[in-house]
Amino acid sequence: MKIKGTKIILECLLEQGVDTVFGYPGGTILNLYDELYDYKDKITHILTAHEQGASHAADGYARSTGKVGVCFATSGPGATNLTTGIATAYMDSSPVVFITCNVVDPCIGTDAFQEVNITGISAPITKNSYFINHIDDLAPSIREAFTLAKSGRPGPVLLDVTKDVTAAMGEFTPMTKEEYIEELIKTDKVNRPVFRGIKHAELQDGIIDTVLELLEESQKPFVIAGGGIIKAGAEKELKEFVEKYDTPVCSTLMGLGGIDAHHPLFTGMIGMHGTQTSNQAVTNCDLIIGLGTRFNDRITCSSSVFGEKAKIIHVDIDEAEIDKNVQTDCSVVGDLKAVLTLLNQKMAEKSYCHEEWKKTVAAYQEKTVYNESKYLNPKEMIEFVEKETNGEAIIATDVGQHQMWAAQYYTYKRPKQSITSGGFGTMGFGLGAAIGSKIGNPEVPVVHITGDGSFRMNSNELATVSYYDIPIITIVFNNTVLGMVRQWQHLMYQERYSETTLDRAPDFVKLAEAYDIKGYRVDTMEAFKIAFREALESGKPALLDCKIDKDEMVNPMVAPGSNLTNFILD
Amino acid sequence: MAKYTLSVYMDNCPGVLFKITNMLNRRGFNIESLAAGITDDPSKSRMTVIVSSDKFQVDQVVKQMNKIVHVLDITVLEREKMFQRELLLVKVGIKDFATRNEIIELAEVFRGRVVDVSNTSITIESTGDEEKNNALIQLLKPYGIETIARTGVIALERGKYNQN
Repeated sequence: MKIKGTKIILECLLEQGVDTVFGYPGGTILNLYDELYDYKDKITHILTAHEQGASHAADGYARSTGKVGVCFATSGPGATNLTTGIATAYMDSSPVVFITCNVVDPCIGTDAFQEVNITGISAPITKNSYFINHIDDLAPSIREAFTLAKSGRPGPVLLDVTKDVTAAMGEFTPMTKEEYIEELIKTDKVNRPVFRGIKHAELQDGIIDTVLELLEESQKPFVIAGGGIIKAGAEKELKEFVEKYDTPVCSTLMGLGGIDAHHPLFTGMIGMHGTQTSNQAVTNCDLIIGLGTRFNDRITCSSSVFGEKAKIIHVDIDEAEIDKNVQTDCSVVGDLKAVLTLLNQKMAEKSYCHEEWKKTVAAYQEKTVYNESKYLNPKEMIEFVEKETNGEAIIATDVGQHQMWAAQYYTYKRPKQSITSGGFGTMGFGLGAAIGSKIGNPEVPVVHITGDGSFRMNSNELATVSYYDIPIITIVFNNTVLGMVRQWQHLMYQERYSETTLDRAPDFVKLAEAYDIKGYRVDTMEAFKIAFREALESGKPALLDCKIDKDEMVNPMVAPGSNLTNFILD
Repeated sequence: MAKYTLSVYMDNCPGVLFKITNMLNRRGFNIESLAAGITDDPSKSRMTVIVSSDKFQVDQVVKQMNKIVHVLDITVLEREKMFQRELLLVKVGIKDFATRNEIIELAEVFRGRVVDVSNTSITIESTGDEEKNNALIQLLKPYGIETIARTGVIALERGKYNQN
């Protein structure tokens, strides 16, 4: 059956179970948008204010649902506007398929209007970027792109289709997602290293026994649960493992929700702004079990002194993460769910008890004292948000102090509840991500926690929130400064506050109102409570502009490059 | 620092070389030489990469390369189990008849071949490992080298060791 290129694209999306696309049209992608007109009842398109907003929305959708996010953009500036979003998704292993259209094939390379080599630009920030200038390559590439995005270590993939291909007629044989995988497994292609994740990879002989031996030997074990737990859907297996092994467990920023933060074995977040307990425990333990974490510098602070007294077991699906940042004593490359299941089976007969060590860990007291703030106290605010939403809300954040507060004070009880740009640290991520999260989880309250600096970057997406009437509550932690950078200037640059004072327009309440969104000016905790309750009950979008002291700090804090217990703020 | 020879079996399609070199550049890996060519299967090519590094870095190069969709297989070739070749073309200026003969004699010692002669220059072709070609270049330098072109090193495993 011969059908048009644009129809092939949309049929392929349907095969993959896509019902929602975020994007922005333009000249070269006109054909695809024209076709989309006929698919209105099958594919919901969310038109954002800016391609970057669409990219973060697709990413937020993917992170909060576990499905592949899809994002459309036109060539040239449309495509380059995606790049921050692509890199954000890449660093946090979020599966998003980006589809851009380029100028017609004969014009490629001629610097035609709105032409850019987006496959080249996106190469280092995607799992693969496909340039499609032949109709026969279209369906196979789309199917491969979706498979690649979701398999192994997930991540973004980009497809750049020339405009003539979108108009061309091509042979199309429908094929379900499952049929495609079956076909792929029959081919040689599945043996490629990059596709190893598709077949259940066999573990290296005896590796689990080595892990068991190390577990057996250890008196003071400590688990670091990373974002991989969430990507692998291994939260049950993790819980079973830490309970069986009777070990304290911490989480990275990306791993929040991988284990219920109420769990008695949970010690809180680890790293630069981790808890005293987690940082002391990882420094004094004799065995670190890193599960789906890449031992990033925000986790280790100094990779050379990290875990000096401990042996390290590392389980990750991406072989390239093994021994990249820290040297391990034993590593397992594989799907965390499968590895932990196997491990739990082998441990079933045994019994473990680390009572003494757990007492030691419990004795690592949190020292943080909260000073009376002139204005609002971030901790109280976030705790109130948690209480009012019964701890069920999805929290989408931007980047900076508010992001760390949201990580520290909200007690995440399930995976995909914390939506934050951990690896890339993208200011301006939050609102788009909140849109995607709410679209993907219409039943769950979504709270967007942001700062005045981050919010100013992409506040244009309020237009999207307003138009689609997406009931997101945006809480702006407005301290009129670029808080986290100022905190560093305070601690490390002798209070030389170079270009971090943001005492400027707009008035966020008026801005919200300009978008026909209810805005609240909040100066006291009492006002915050009233405003938040009202916003939540209204079921409408709302913005709370909350006054925070500009000298409010994120505690605790470890200096970059130093030992994890060397707190410069406690 | 040691030299490691990587033999990469990969798709022969547009953009592959870019994706590999782009990754190497992005990860800050130090590449000494890179040469690629088509294989008996026209849809595949083989690339030889010489990385000047330590074992730890080479492992990283291999792991990162494995994440590129177009890569089918990578072998780190051990020195004693492989042979390397590089083709060198070198054009030397000649002042008189005597020096031309001297250059031809030198080339013969290196089992090189004269591929072009004119009144003002002579071009030698030499095949061998990198060190051999380097030695020839050193000897030709005093005569005044005009231009050099080198293919970069290609390598294969010896008889009983089979790749793929």
